[in-house]
Amino acid sequence: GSSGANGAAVKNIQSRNWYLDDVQWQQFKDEEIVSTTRSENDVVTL
Amino acid sequence: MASLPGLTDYLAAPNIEESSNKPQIVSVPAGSEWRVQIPQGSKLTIKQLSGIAEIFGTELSLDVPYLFGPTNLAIYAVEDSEIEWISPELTSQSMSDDTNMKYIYNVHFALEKLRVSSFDGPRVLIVGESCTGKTSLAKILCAYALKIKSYQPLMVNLDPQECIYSPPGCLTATPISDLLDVSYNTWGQSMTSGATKLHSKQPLVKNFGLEHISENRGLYMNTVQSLADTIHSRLASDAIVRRSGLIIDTPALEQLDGDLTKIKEIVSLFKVNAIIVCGHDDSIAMKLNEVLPVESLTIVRLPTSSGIVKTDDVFKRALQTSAIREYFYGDSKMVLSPYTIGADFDMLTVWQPTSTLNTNSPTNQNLIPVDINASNLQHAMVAISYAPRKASGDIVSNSPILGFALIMEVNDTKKRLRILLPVPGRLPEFAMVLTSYRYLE
Ligand SMILES: Nc1ncnc2c1ncn2[C@@H]1O[C@H](COP(=O)(O)OP(=O)(O)OP(=O)(O)O)[C@@H](O)[C@H]1O
Ligand SMILES: [Mg+2]
Repeated sequence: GSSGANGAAVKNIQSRNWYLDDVQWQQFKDEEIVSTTRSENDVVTL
Repeated sequence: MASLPGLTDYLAAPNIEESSNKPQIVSVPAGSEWRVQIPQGSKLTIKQLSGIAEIFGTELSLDVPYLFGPTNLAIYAVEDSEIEWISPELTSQSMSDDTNMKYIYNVHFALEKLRVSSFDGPRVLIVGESCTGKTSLAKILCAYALKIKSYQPLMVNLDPQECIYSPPGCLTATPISDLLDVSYNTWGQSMTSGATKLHSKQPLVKNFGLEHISENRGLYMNTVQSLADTIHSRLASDAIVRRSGLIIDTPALEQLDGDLTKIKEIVSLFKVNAIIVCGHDDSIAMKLNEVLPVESLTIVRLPTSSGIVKTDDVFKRALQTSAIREYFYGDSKMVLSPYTIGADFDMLTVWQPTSTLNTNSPTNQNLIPVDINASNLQHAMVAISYAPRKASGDIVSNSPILGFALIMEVNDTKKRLRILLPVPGRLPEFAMVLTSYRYLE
């Protein structure tokens, strides 16, 4: 695991994705979406 | 991290009084709903201790805390339920068995029959005057469609004032491929760069950008049309979504239409085969009966629930502001890291929808160029299109969008701007469209 500048564990940093354009969205299959059952209290490192 | 504007403020805001609130318990008898209004600045945490209960169609998990910000909601008990709750301040709470849930179940089973009997599922249009429960019904029907089989209904939002998997000012279409997150006013998370706890959703987002449809009805209908076209292409290749059908939420009828011509157009654009009228009486349903091709579609009225809250503009604006914040910064469950960049004035091309509120707007085009300066852009939310910077207004207007940016600061003397992007990286070299929405920390 890694740690932040101040030595504390870093939460995983997420950002939003750009939207798909029309053609990408038409072809997108929702099965490709990942989700986890991770609890928000778990410390996740990058 | 410390340099991200607003992020620390936002994290510090909730949770302060958590310990000073004592948990209370409410028993909700089967068939009744517990209705609560959470005012601005307040919140509510609930935990289902026993029984089965749902919020707008989505069943609550036992012993899992759900946190809500300002909103109005009903917890409907399918079986006798006990719920623990903590809140510093609820404006009102009440228990009622006067609900329209049994009518909604009937509607749901009718839709279910259509899904079972055809490869082309129901395409349902929900209409009604303001605050008649349209959006709540759409949510319940989407949630119910997931219950028995793994359907993927397509939630279509035609009301730019609602924020459904998007900031305000948008029309959207989102396949509901997994549980809704009941604690979000925006219905749940849309796609981010990493795995999320609840399955996120992939919306198709079209920017209308104005607050009121009446400001530019032509542009509104163009936006609807472009959404409909893309949806039909998806349906052609996505058998699950096609069979699951469309649930279409609409703006309050009085804003959309005087004489139902817009409803007629929407019915034909989306090949609607069922209309549900949310209303206190039959008058709208009867009028629709006269103007629509009733041979090919069913019109039913759903009695309104006594729980519906007449929300005002202040409430709507607060929901819109929090949807913008959530788009860029996430929320307490999932903090997002937006990215601030500097840019010179000449790095940007910005257009703006013409509006009847702007008296010197030409009426023959949808977009006009915007001068880059503080008075036009300070704190504005802009849509970033997929069209190249030098593209014509027509091309920009018909282009899909990449996402939104916030203009944080405009310095007219230095001709510099600071721009907040939701995705780290360079400023995309695409044309932008100014929206009517402003956001400041
Ligand atoms: N049974 C209920 N109990 C408590 N609150 C409810 C209930 N049904 C709906 N509400 C709330 O009432 C408000 C209005 O409902 P809703 O948004 O569904 O109506 P609408 O017809 O979509 O309104 P608009 O015309 O503004 O789009 C919302 O804040 C919603 O959460
Ligand atoms: Mg609505």
